[in-house]
Amino acid sequence: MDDNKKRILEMLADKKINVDEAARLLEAIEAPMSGTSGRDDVTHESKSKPKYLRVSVQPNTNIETGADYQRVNIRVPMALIRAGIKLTSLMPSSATDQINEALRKKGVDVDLGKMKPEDLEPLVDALSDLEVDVQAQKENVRIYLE
Amino acid sequence: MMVPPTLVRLRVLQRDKNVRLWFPLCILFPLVLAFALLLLPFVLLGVFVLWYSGWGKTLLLAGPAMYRLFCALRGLEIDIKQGSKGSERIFVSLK
Repeated sequence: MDDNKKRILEMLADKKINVDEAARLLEAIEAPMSGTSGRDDVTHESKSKPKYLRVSVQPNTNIETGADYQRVNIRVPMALIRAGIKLTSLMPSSATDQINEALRKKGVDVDLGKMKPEDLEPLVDALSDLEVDVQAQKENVRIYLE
Repeated sequence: MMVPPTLVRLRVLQRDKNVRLWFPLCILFPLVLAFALLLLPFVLLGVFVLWYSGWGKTLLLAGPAMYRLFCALRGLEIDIKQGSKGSERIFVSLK
């Protein structure tokens, strides 16, 4: 039992407060507790795992009317990225060694054999709030997870 | 549960071309299943032959991996418009 509740019940038992006052005090301590857990639920819901990677390229509002522009909207399911990483675990070590060597020559020091789908989860959680917003002369580029 | 996409929508709009395609992929599932069952004995033979070279496991798990990849395509959407007033458009959606 909560310490605050115990103290209230002890005060009631010692007749330092009456029943109505005890009830009011219990409601008062329960209200912020339920509010906090509700907020935690909302926070948890809002922090639910992102399902899609969105890439959006929109023309700048400054462009001339009738001018050529490009508008791109791409939605990639995160499951596709996870499935792609799982494919790397199927490759035999001889193949991954060759790929790792080729990547190292290009300056990318990564070991494909050690990449696991569960390693992606903390990265996705950390990137869930990431938003890249680039405003160029003719277009605005936005990359985010939703 | 992994559910494969059942519908593909494709739209290609260009100056002299207007292609709209709405195709229920579920029609192809029995055909693909029959083809996979036909290939199964050959795949198992290949797994047996290639096992010690390291590619046997890859061959054995390639089928389920491809299915997982296909299921992961559900929700993919690509929409590209260009030209003045979006006169050219390519739209692909898998649901």
